[in-house]
Amino acid sequence: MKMQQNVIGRCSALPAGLSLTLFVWAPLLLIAAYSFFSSGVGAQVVYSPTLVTWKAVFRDRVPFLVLARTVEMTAISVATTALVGYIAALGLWNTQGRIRLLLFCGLIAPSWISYVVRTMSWMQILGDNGLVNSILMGAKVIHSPLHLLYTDFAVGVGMIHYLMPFMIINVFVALESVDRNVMHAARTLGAGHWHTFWSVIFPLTLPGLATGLLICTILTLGSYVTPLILGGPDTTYYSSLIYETFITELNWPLGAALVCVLLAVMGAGVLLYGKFVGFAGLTRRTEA
Amino acid sequence: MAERTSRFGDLLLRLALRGEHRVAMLSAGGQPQPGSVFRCETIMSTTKKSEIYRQGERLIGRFKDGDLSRREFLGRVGALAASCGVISGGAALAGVPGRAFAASAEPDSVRFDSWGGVAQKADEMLVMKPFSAKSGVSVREGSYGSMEEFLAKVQTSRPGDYNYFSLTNQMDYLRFCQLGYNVALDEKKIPRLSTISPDIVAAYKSASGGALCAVPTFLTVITIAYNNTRVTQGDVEREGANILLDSALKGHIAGEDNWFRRIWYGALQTGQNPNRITDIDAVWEKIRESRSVVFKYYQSGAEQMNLLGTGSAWLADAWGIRVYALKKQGRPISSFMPKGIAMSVGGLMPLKGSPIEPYYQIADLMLSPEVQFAKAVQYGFPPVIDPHLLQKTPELLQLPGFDPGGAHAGVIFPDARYWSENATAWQAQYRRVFIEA
Repeated sequence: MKMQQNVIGRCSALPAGLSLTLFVWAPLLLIAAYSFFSSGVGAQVVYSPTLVTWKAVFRDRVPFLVLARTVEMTAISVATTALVGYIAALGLWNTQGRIRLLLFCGLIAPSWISYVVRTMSWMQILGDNGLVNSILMGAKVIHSPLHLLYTDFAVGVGMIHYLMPFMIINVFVALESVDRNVMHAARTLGAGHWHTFWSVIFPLTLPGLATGLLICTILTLGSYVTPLILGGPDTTYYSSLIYETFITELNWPLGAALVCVLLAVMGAGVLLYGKFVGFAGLTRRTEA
Repeated sequence: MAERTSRFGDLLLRLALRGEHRVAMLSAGGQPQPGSVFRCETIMSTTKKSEIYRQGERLIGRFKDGDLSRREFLGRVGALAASCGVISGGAALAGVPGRAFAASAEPDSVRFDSWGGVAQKADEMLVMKPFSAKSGVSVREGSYGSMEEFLAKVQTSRPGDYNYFSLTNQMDYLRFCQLGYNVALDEKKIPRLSTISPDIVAAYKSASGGALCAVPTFLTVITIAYNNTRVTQGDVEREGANILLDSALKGHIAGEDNWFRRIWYGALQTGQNPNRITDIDAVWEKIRESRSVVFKYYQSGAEQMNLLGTGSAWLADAWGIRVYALKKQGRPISSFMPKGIAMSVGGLMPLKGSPIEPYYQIADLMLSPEVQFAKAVQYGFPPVIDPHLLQKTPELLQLPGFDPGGAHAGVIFPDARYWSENATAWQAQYRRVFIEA
């Protein structure tokens, strides 16, 4: 019986394992394999294994400069998203009924529009003749337009706009799992609103917040469109570098090596998450 | 049993038809059209098809009537199929990759890839649709964001997936030739080729060792575009290419994020011949300098038009075709061509293994004075043919890059081999200069 259950269990995991292998691991391994080739004349890939490409990557400080800049932008964007998103999720959690439904629709509906179009909408808001400058100049706060567009600031705003739904939903789910009786108990024992939140609610929602941080970090590190549309000369990020290497320079081995470096950084982030937060929350099973 | 065998017989006949198609294509030495195996009936001669069907029908009829045993029937169907080259058809069905097959001389469709947007719209309306209407060959269209992106697609595709495409300049022409995707054209089959200025044809032939492997169909020129309510013509003419570094216009200058463009302008700004740069470090310095005054490097024509059209950019190096479009929209945009500006030769190139007869027809149509004139005044593409063949309307005379005399004075045709030899190193260094500056 037990052996039968084991076999059934393993067989039921087969489709998932096969999908992961075919659609995740196989492409990644293929990319990693390319990093051990080199680029020849006319940007043709030379299919004989070599470490030349990896040596070129580690001898050049430029990819690591760009990676550092990308990590910095990621940290700022994700931290801001977490702060604003948590507050928004808290507000959403404290609503009920129709209002909650309307707010949820307001959160999800913009996702139905193309990501590129949503990002481009910030050009009308942050541009020299955009909404922000028009309001400030109309109110005589400034006399000449602020240069907001095509800067790191614009890229950060665009990223936060994109990440917000992911953060809010993850935090909201964590808040929903908090038993409201716990809050009442804390109040009964004399805790004020702030104390109740900080000592009771916030620790219970940390796994959800951590999951939101993980997802948003992964999305930001690999973001290409937002820096391309909203960025300027000083906003070269790692994904743009990868794109340029693959598509403009047609240097597939070098591009593959850069991808592996990014994957290693992301992997390190996931391992840190696992060490401090643990993966149990991601695979939590509800008791029947 | 007879019913089952009949279906099996039909299947064998189908294989035979496909095998026949493959044999025909192999002997012609071309390549298949996508999906052509399953449309072989449209390609095989009607007589041959009728013959095979008649023999097959007769066999099935005799088997159903009891004149043939099952063994005899299967044997004769097999013999019929083998005589039609079913083995090669079977191999084809097995999907053996990478083999070059004959291009059908009478395809029912061809594929054309270009830049998309206005450029491709012009070709679609003026050339492809009339060609399809006249020849019955439909044109499937695709687009690409850059020539490198298209090259990546071609390199990872099967022969025949892509047929003809728009070349941006002679460097791309050389690259495709060096990678072996070219085919030497029979110039006699393009009567209007003789109307193209010789120096334009030479820009291609010199890159491919004398043979012509693509037909020049348009010119592109990158002018300096400026908002004439913010920048005066006098300033632009006085400073020339160096106006793109003017610190007084800091925060209002845009540029194209393109290594070739930036290096070409850097060469002009340092007084060097762009086709023979002797001090590349000075060019990199100019590019670093430009980064301090440019607020946005655009990557597409649409973005370029947006920057100039909305007034965000007062000055930019801009594609002539986009400047022309902005002028037609009534925007206060003027253009100036400093001495030494690059004039690129765009063209239509067939990829090796593509049907060639439709290509000759399309290319010749693209060179007709009517199409060249329409593309010039409606879309802003300077014509390649002798300007004396065109009606000198005021619109045409205002076209950036159009020289009524046909001498192309003041412009330089980029040396494809020189730029190709330095492309790899300069592309990498260009990106590094941007990041480290």
